[in-house]
Amino acid sequence: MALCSWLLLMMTGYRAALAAMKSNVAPYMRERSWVDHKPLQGARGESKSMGVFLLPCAAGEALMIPGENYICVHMLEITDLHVEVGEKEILHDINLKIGDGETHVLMGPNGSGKTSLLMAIMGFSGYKVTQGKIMYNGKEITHLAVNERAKAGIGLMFQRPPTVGGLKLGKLLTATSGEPKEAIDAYAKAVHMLTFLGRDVNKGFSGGEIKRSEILQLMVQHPDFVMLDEPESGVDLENISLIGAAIGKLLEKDLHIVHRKKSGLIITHTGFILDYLDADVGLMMCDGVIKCRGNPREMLKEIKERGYRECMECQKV
Amino acid sequence: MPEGLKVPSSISPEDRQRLQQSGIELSMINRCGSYMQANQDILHATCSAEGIEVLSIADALKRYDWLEEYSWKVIPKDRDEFTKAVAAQENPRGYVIIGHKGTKNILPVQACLYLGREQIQYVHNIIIAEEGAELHIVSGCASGKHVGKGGAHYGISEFYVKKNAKISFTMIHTWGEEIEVYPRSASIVEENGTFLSNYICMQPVKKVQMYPTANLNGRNSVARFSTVIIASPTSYLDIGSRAILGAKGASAELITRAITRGGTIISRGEIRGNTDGTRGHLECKGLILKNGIIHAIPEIEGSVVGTELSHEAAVGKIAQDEIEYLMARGLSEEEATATIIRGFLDVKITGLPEVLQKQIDATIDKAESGF
Repeated sequence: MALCSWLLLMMTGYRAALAAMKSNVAPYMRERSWVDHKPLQGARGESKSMGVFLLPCAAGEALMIPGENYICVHMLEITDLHVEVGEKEILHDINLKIGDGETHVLMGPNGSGKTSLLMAIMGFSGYKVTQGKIMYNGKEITHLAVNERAKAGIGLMFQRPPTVGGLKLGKLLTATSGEPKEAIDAYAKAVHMLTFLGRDVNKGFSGGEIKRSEILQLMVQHPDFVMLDEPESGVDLENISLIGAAIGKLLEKDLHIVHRKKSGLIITHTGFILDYLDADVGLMMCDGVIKCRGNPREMLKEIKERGYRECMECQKV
Repeated sequence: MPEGLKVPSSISPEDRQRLQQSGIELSMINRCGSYMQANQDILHATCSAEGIEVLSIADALKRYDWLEEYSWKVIPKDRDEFTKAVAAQENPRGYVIIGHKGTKNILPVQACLYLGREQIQYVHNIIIAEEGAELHIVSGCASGKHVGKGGAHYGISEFYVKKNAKISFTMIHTWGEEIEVYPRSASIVEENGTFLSNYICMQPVKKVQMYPTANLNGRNSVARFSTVIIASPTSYLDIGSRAILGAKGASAELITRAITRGGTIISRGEIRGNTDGTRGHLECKGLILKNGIIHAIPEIEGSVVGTELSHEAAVGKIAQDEIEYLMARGLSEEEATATIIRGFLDVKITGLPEVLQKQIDATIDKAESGF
């Protein structure tokens, strides 16, 4: 049903789709909760008798109806976000919109605030939001607990995750997924982690093993919004393609754009990830501010040729 | 099918559960022999396994004259008021377990010491693994839920691990809030012998005070002490372990995981390296969940060139980044905390049969679910 609405929207234009939606709205409609402050139950499939519906942005954004009845909502919508770490503001006035099925890559020099942005979106206690808000699927999550965000569909691949002594990776996966052992084993096999299930989480793992373990945890979690913090760092050439493919799958890059719903925000220095999946938008962060927005490949090329110098001057947001 | 353990009908279902929690299989399934003492009454001392004997100490001393050579030898009678009190008993109680030469049985013998009244339980045990023998023992000590003030347990245990032999001794305590416990134990380990001592105390108890010693007298002998303790708000646990590395190639590892939920833990440890070519490591990790005391006193003393000793002690709280890491996977704060605590308490003991490791895991799981 959801697919039908979208296909109609894509193929026959919005008026026909509109008609179809009015009778057949539910799966792709979202309640306009941030307008009337009524919390959304779940990310999708909500409709409201008032007749004001929220539509996912992204692919259909160009076709959106600039009317009263339909409002386009991004999967992630960050407005005027300011974040402090240890009483020092490190993110200033961040504005970011990521729609359904979109992948954004976040670039920028070391210490520019990229990881802090991911941590703030995930809700870690050391990252205090002093101003602005984070909306996820039309619902404000600025002050939601970390696990509530995870349950809502946000997943994070840590750059340097902590070691949890005594906790076996396999046990953690079972605790977080609830899937049967066979299913977990199959995921683990796909990223060559089967022999690690009996080991303490991250204890003595090499750089590449940590990344594979993180990917595996995300695969089991099935997030809709995937944040990856330097997925390529410390990974050897052989494993890079394995990780690249796994990330592609997480983001449903194997699906046609119309069907793709998973979105991503990926921090990368090398851009290796672009060899495995097409990113839609490149973002450049400098000194806690998003300075540029553009074609990811072009931006990467620019950085390779001229370094981050341009970043200071760029104001194309 | 072995017949079940002779448990007196006066022991309530609730208290039976406490016995099971302490590692006692009332059905005797997965146990190769059993000893049961309720208060000062010996109810059961049998073993179905060939080459292993489980006897009351009185019977054993009657049967084997040579046993005198092992009685009060590694622990002197006059060591302290508790050893004196046990030695003064006219009718000694306790058990003797002998693994005869070359006997190997990975199923454990269970020794159940149950205190059902406000009285002092006196126990003297002797455990011998003869040359090449392998003995596994699970000692479940519990008191009735409603035993009040004045209940105490004085237990003397002497271990003798002969050449190429192995003893694992897993003691699980489920005492009550009013009970005081004073175990006194020591072992002598001969050439290539292995002594594994595991102690688990997750339930409230008024006081436990013990400091078992392993004398590694034989070349390449090994001792491993693993201790998992939780102090409830009213508990006072003064628990240590000591290894004396007395022969070339001897090694010892003393591992403790201590959690206080408001009570006091004194975690002692001592390794003495008196011979070259010896190694020892002492590790104590403590978690303070509620304001209480964890006082770690690790001691290492090397007196010759060629002994390598180390210690590591840490007391702290659960790391916030670990909690949030697990929360980022969808676990609630409570679930994440419990998961980390369970991991903290996870002690895998090399050389322990699976059935005993499972027992230890189950005991910890059960207590951990209360966090």
